[in-house]
Amino acid sequence: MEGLSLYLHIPFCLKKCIYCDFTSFPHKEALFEAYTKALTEEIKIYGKKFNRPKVNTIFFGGGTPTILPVQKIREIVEAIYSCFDVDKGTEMSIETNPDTVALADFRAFKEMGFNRVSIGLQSGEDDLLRFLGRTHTWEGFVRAYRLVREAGFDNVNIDLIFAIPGQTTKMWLDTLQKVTALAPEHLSLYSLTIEEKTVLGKWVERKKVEPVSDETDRKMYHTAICYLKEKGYIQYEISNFAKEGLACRHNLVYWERGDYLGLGVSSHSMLEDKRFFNTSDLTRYIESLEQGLPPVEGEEKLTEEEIRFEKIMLGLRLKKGVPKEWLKGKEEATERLLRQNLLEEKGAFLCLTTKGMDLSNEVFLEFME
Amino acid sequence: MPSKKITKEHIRNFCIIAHIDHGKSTLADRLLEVTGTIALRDMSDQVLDQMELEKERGITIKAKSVKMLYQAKDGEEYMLNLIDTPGHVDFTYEVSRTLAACEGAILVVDATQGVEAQTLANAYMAIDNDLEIIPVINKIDLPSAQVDYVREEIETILGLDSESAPAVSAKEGTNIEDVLEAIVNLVPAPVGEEDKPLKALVFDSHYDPYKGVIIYMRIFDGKVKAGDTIRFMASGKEFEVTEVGVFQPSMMKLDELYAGNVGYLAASIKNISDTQVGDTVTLRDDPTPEPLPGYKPAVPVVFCGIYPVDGADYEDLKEALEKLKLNDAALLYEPENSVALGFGFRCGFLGLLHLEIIQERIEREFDLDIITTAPSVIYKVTKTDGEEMDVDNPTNLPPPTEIKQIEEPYVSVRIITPSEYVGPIMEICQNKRGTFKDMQYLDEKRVTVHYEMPLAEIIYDFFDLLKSRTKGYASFDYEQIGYVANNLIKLDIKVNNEVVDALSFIVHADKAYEKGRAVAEKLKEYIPRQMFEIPIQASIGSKIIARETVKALRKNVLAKCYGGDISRKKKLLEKQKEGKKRMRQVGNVDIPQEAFMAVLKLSEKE
Repeated sequence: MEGLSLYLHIPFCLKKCIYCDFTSFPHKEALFEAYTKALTEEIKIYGKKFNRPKVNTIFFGGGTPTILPVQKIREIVEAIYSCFDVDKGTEMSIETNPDTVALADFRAFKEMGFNRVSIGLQSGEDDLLRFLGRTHTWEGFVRAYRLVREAGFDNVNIDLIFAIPGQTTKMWLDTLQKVTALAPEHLSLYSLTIEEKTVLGKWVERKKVEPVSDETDRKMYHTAICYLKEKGYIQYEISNFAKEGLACRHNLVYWERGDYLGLGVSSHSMLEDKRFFNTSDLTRYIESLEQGLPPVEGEEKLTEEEIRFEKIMLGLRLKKGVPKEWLKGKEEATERLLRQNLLEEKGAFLCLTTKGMDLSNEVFLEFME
Repeated sequence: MPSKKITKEHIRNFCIIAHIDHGKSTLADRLLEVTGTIALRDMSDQVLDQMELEKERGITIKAKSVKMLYQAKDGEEYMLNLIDTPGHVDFTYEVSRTLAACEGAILVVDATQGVEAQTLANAYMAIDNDLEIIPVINKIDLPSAQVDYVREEIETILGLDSESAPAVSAKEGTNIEDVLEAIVNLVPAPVGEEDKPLKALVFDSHYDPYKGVIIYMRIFDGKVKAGDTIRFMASGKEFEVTEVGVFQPSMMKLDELYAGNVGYLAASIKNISDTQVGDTVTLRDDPTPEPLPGYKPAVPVVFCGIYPVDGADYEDLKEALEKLKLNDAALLYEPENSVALGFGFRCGFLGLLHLEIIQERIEREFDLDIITTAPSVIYKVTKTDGEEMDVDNPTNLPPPTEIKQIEEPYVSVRIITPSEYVGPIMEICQNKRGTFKDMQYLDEKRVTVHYEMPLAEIIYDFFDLLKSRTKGYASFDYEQIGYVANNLIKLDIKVNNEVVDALSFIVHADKAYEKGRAVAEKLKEYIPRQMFEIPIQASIGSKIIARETVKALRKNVLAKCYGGDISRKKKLLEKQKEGKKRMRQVGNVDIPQEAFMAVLKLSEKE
């Protein structure tokens, strides 16, 4: 193993947003202690199992990881340092939410070795933030952003959502302007996915909320691509933009099919073409580790064909695309996609056009057996 | 099981007839239970309705028979042969087959509903067959039961003596003995002689993978046993009998069957086509001179195309139809192909319910995904050159310039309804191009409404409309009465400028616009956005009468990948892939099979 990436899932948040279908629970402060203990136990198990492997990137995601007391984060980080081989240059990110920033101690995070912060802003409009069930305002975000900068972080990402019901292209552009004025190094822009089981999903189903049309959604996306390009951000993946050289290395591991170990409830891992995932049940997760057992719920050994398809599906998400030889035997589909202006050639590579990104699933389906 | 031979004076052959849901199958169950034919612990609801589909839909599709032994109050033991009959108008033909094998009929009437359209139709059919009719009033346990009122209805509407009609609750098992006694006392014993040459009526058959075709028959004269060589008088085919027996209700082997018996016969018959329902069975060495009067063959009146969703399933579909045909002589099919749907079959049915049942059986029993095209009737087309042709598929209609006239089949429809619904019913019938014939009050509350209308109008949604507009209180029955020339035209549907042959309809010119608009709107709803804009047009010849547009697909992307959960992404793609597989490519447009279904089910009220 050429070293791996570590993802740590912190399944807690202040309040569930209406669109969220991730494994995250509000009001579970009582479990912070037990969860931290379980997670450090899991770290120990894998550190031992793989004999203190080398770690390339570390990502604390959630939920809102910074809802945990600093001391708990420190315990987790220390467990990682003692069980894995973490190099000085390792990219080490933590996600946060504007409301928890003031409470957290970012200087302490910096000292622990974190060198990248990802802040979930989602929108620059207070009305839309309220609609989404966010607990912060734009002002609150700006204060949090400054605190993070003051703590010495020089690699900051801001998460934004577009195609929010009620949002206009003008509102979206305003948000982009306000955000880029703060000059973050990295931006993730996600088209709002309406998941059936969420509060938002139910509102849409009951026609209480009208989703943004696909036409407007794409207009917003195209506007952002143009605008960010002008502002010096390079799009390196369907939803991700960064200043030169500051693409998120952890994210790239997913797209490039590097090895990663996901720890924490509901986390997914891929090691040497084997995918496995943990239970999504918080209690079961904790109980399992209390007995020293890995809380793995399922696994999937990929076939040659699946590996081939995954490489294309994930690789094409990246702006640079995939080497032409990966699409050998798929000439007919490739020709068709080139003709339809969904794919384009760049030297020895084939990559998605902007239209291809809009319709990326249609492209992937062409390569699916 | 050796037992004392029962003389024909102690045999009663009867059937049960009723309007749908009046409790025919439940009463049959009770009879089996009370006579001890089936032990209580072995009873599953509605034993005679063996087909899963029959139980679910609460209807009987195939005729079946069962032998019961009953110790009557006169101290004698009787053999009661019950022949079950289908209860839906589509299966009138199967009912008539059953009746010819019986001497009596129990007419079940729901004490809460009274006489309904099919009660009437079935009763008339039984009268035509010279059967002794025993009215039985069922569901007396229900609070809304009106036994005296229904008794009176049976007298006034049907003209049957109902004074001594048993009033029962099949559900609760109340007064079931009264029914058995009535059968013994009122149904005549079979006539016919054991010493005469064999003369037996084939009234049904089914295919058994081990024994070959099993013939269901009623023996009028003579006897038959294993080892005999029989001859089917119509087909002339001869077979050696391997087994005879009765249904109890599972097959029970006996040494011989004799005059008056109802039972089965197996003779290693491989092809159901060698046997014909309605044919007379006799012995090769001692034939009867005169065959029994046969039946009119079942004539399919509704046709549609059935296609596999996945073209690779064509052979499986063919096999499924072959197997269904084995037990369903009324089903017709022949290969056809469609530009839109590929290779499939043109199938003929007795009615829309029959169509739906076959469709469900193919899907359920053979696990095949199929697409059915819009049902059609047989049109009689006279061309300008004088040639006459039958058209059961709109695609085969000649170009308008070559058509002199088109005639369509008409039916006479009788609807029995509480009088307050006469208005809505007349409205439905008028909308369906019906011609009012007459109306009669059955009593102060109920009315028979009589219309003549095109069969094509009732095979779509007539029954559904009738049910919904009368809260389910109206019942109807129909019979074909001949052909009428009308101003009919072919409506084509074009998707992305190509005619989808499977979506062509023959409609009355006055209704073409309405229909065209509705179909185009429905298709727009069901055809998903694709990589390009798709025009949907309804046209008569080259004239476009309705147009809708499916806008081009603008977005199909998964924005986020969370915590490396790639499997979830793949699953979503697999779901999309699966969805595409279930679609039909017409030109370069993918049309989901649901779109074909939706158009088929399209109600004019939508």
